[in-house]
Amino acid sequence: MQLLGGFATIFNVQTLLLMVVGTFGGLVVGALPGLSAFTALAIMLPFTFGMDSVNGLCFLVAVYVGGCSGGLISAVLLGIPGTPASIATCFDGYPMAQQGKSKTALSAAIISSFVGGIFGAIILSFLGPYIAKVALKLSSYDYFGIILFALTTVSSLAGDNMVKGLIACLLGICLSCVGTDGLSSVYRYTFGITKLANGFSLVPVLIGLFAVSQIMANARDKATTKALDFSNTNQNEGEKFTFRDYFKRIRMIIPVSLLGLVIGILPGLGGNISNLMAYSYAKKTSSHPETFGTGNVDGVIASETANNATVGGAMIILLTLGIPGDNATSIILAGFQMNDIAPGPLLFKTQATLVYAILAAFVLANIMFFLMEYFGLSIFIKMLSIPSMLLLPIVIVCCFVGSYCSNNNTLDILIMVIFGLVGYILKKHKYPLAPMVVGFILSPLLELYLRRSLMKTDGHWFPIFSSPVAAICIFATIFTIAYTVYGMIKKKRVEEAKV
Amino acid sequence: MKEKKNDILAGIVIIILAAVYYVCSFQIQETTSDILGSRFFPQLAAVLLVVLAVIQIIQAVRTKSAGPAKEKDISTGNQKLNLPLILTTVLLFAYYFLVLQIGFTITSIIYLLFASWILMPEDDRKERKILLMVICVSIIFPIFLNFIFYQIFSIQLPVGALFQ
Repeated sequence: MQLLGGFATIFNVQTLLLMVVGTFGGLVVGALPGLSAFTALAIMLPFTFGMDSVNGLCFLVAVYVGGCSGGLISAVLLGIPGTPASIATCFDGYPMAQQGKSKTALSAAIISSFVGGIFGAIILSFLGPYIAKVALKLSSYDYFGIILFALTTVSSLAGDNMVKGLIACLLGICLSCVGTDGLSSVYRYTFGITKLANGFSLVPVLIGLFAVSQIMANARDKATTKALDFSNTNQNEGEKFTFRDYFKRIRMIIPVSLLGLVIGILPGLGGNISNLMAYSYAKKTSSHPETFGTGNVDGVIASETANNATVGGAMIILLTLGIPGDNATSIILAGFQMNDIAPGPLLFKTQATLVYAILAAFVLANIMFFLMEYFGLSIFIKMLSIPSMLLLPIVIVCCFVGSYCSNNNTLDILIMVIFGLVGYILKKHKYPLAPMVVGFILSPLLELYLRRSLMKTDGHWFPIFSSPVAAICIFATIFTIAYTVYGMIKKKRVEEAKV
Repeated sequence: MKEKKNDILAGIVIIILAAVYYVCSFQIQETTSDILGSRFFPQLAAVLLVVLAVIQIIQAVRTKSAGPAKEKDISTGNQKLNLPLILTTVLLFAYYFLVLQIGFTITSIIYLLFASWILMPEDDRKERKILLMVICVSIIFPIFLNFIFYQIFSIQLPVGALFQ
């Protein structure tokens, strides 16, 4: 019922128009290889500064949904994934296009994205309020445990090497200590620079680490700056895949949708992993696994259903606990912060209108991208022929505006450029960036809840374990670390045995 | 092999940074409002960073002694001197310093022209049509952006010290 209220909030010309623009922009940017849903959000973020909270956040959600769904076009037609979340779509989508079944592959991918997205949206709408209700009853001990678990999960799972993930996370924690201490109000690491009293702003840090570093990497690999060539492709070959064809595979669709959703809920994984895991699940459970990779439509369906269901999962954890699961949700978190709103369980109580408007926008954005891609594919193909050599500098200009507007402070522009360089160096040395950002965002809360917990217990650590939620999370943290270390040792032994 | 060297070097750099971070934590005013105080968390992060950096170095050294590298370093961008990358980085810093002096619009026009030229494939530099498109977009886009922010969002983008 409240969701209907959400629809009523967003059903006005201004919000709907903004959402159409957001979904379209997200689709175009997300479809371009080298640029992701995050880049789309970074480009669009500055434009939300002049909007009210409902319009701004609905616009960002539309960009996010569009950005996650755009990657399938070039993945199917050219075999180049527009975003990492569409890697597995290439495995069968591109062979299908080469076999003259591009229309089948594209329509299957679009329907799968739509159903995956709607599935995530429905689960988010129904599960979100319940999780928020439970989260409201949690104590500072519990929050400390949950955040510690989230940080460890991101660090362990975001890259190939857990040590590097943890180092990146700790670097983020160190950076978050700059500014005023939340409990005692003393300055830390400001070195007399008054503009640093509030610490580093999230927007320039995020844009620098993810967008600027990506553009530097694109500049390094200059080959990617050529415009995509769709002249040898034909999107109208083959039969159209229908919803009836799709739902015939319901036994595969349900598990891959759930897989995508759960991966979205777990911080640090996201669509980049879920599409590959869903593909591998579909292949393992198929009666014809040998056809995967040669143009089996099930491969396309599994990948696209899962990566869009992941978006719903990531939104659940962001809205109910305030924990960003990946880089794209981090920038939506920044969007909340710009409106002085803190996502978390209280949001469902204090800002119910906004929350349900966001949920409704999430559902509507999925419908919008489906209609746009299903009926306007040729327009997107034309848009994708924009050469990146022009697009990348435009992204940088938008990033400059975004960083400046977050506080009307030119120092933030310099911070963005420096973090861009830092992000590039870290990425080059294979340090994952997601743990750094999540560490940067969550560590002030981790410190706050730890110190509050210890105030309650007069400095004794043991009572923290008396809370079941905190105890489970702390043991899960230890288990995650132990399991990852075990996996690393096992992998190393196999590699050494091969040598 | 190169990756291992890089890991050792990165580990050493992290240890140095963590040590500096730890030492600087003594400049933080000590508080008694709670048991841990305001220095505890940064100090803990610095100590953990050192521990993890040491583990990373040990991991790298062990892998090194286990035998020669099996395959080529697959990480991209290992060229000695990547001109587009260096120029892009220099341009980013120049963009910031110029924005302070001559403002957002003019700097953005200059930046877009230079950055597009750097990223442009050699063949495209001879095509008049593409060059014309780059020039038009480089001039129109910043003016359009400035107009939207000033007129619609009422946000003044940096005008620069020269025009203040």
